[in-house]
Amino acid sequence: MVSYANKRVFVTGATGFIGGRLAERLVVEHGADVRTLIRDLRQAVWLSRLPVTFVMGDVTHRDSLEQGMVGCDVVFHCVGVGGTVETCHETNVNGTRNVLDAAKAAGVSRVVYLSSSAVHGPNPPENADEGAPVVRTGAPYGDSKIAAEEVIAAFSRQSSSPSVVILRPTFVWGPRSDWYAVDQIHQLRQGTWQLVDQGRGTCHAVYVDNLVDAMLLAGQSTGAAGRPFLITDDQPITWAEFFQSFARMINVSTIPSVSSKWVRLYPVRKLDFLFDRMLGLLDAHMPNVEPFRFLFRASHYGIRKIRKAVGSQTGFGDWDLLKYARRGRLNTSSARTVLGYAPGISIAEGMRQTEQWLRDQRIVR
Amino acid sequence: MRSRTSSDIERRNYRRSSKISCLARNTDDRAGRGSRPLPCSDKDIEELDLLTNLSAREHHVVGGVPGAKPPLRLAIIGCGAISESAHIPAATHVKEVRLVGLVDTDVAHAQTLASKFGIERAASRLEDVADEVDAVVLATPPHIRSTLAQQALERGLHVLCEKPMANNSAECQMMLSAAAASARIIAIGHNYRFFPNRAFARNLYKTGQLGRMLAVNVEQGDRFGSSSRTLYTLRREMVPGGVLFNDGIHTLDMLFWWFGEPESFEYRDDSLGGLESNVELELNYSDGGTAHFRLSRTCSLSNSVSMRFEHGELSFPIYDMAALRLRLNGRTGQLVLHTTPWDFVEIAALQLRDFALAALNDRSPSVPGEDGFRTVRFIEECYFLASQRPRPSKTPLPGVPW
Repeated sequence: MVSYANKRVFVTGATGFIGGRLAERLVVEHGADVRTLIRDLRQAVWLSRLPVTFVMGDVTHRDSLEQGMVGCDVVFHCVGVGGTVETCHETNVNGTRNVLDAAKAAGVSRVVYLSSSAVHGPNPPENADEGAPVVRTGAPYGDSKIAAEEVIAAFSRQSSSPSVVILRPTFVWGPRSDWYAVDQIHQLRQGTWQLVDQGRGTCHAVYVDNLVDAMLLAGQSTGAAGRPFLITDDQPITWAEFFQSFARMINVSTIPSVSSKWVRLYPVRKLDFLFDRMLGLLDAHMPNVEPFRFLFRASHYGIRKIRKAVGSQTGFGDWDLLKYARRGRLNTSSARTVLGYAPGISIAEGMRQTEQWLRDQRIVR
Repeated sequence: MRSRTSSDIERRNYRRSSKISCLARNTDDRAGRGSRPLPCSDKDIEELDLLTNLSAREHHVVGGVPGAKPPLRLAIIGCGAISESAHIPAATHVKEVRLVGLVDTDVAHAQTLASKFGIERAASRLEDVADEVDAVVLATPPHIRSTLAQQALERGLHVLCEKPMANNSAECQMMLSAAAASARIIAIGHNYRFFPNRAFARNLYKTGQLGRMLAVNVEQGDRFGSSSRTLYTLRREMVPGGVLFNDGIHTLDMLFWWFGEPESFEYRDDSLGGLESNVELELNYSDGGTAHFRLSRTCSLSNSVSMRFEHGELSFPIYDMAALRLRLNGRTGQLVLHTTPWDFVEIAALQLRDFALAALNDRSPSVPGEDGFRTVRFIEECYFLASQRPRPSKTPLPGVPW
């Protein structure tokens, strides 16, 4: 049984979805003294509900980190951004280096780093565990997470304190999740969300409170030092089942589907690219008078029909197509045996809570 | 009492000013079933006249009060977003005041605004301008309002204080005592009272045309965004509460202004020891009427007020100053109490003029300090109730009042 009572902890990324929930639970269930790193106070409205200390700063500035970590026992490093290669590197890689250096200077004993299962690429091998190869795909986010883990490995070789535990959650969902709750509702409502291969791929979700359980365990587990852990709900369902649960909340009965293989075929991608170029050229050069306007609309309509017929119109990139098409298991036995992790909230219960939250926040009416 | 038709109102206002009018359109008209005008009493017309008299636009045309005293010399204390966007531009438009100085601890910022609006003085302390003014607008964060208001009142200055009046009722009491001791006015910036649609609809209620209130439902919420320089609304060291204290206070003031204080209430929020961002409030009145208030700064709500009375219903969008939907004695109408859009500068001008006239003529302002005290004291009671909850064993869902 972990306890953070009377412990002082430092949380980066606490204005976000995962770090925010961690801070809430540390305060309510543990009575911990929580200090949070705040880059932009305007983002702290959720966090302002808690009696936590705001430390104004940024993971790219080590001074604010050191100041915030004074007297802290544990640091939960939850900051992670997407975007360009430079942004991801600056925040995810250099930021992690700053957090480790500051934690060492402040005498912190444990750092828990929130990495991602993305380090294994979009399509890890069957029954992959933490020992599965890391895969650089060129995607800025995933590659920066790998680089951050390498920074941690190098740091741990040189210094025994603080000890670092790496968690690699799969995709995290639940109340306050933009990517796997709010966006789904908006896109399903607009009819722009798609399944891949009829949603037959395996959905390895991790509900936010289950991940927070794992983080709290990682902050105190003695055998976990220096190790990475894959974290999921361990209740694999299909993507169709997962997204249909959201669709039911807003009475959407069918979700369109695209074929991962067909879309990823090179000629189809090429055709898609050409269609985009063609529409762009038409838009730029077609005179804005009749009958050209009619011709433009007709071309647009025709291209849309062709795209639909060949199934090439999708917002998914190759990474997402592979992720949603993957069928197979992930092995989380290390988290179970070493951390003592056991997902406490089932997908059905998580979905019930998520729906309650979506309704309360009027995202679902 | 003779009923006036919407056309009467339109003609009457048209005569008063080509810019100001009241339109009353019947839904029946739009459906092509002939005109069934809404009943409006003489009192309604007086109310409209009051509004048009107070109109900032008309004020430009008409000028100051006949036989007016010299304008009230004014300083604005606190040069944050609300001063820049509303108080300063409003003060430069109201002829009963002369804006003499701006005061802010960031004197460079005060100077920038003074240059921008052509104001004589910029200073860092109240004392620097106190001898040159008759009144101050207090637009600082609330934790220092009580101290500054007392200083101003003790120096014989009238005070128009932004809402919330202060961080707690004890501070409010001290402000009221200081005002009484100095025989000066303290008015509170509950500016929604100056929205034409609120004033008109309240008058319908107060004159008994709507009958007894049965139920009120208010939803007010948007995802947090603030142009505040200090972002004090998120800082526990500066404010005692969150969305109710900073945003919901307008609605609370409206409910008290219309219906008085409730006999009992139930309060829930999502605070976990910090500042609440979501609130559910149920007010129960002695005559059986109830008011439900849902408030949020994490999600978008309908931002509307709907009220059900014995003889009718009315509703209006919270941030709309002119529109009003009314059903009275079986007839439904959509009123727009102004043909041109209103903005917060005009509302601030109405409020400032009301304050100036009160100060110059030694009468009570529309929103006296006692009303500011009433809302702060009520909010304090809400927070006390919330503080008595046993700590939950499981963390509630984010934002869900518990």
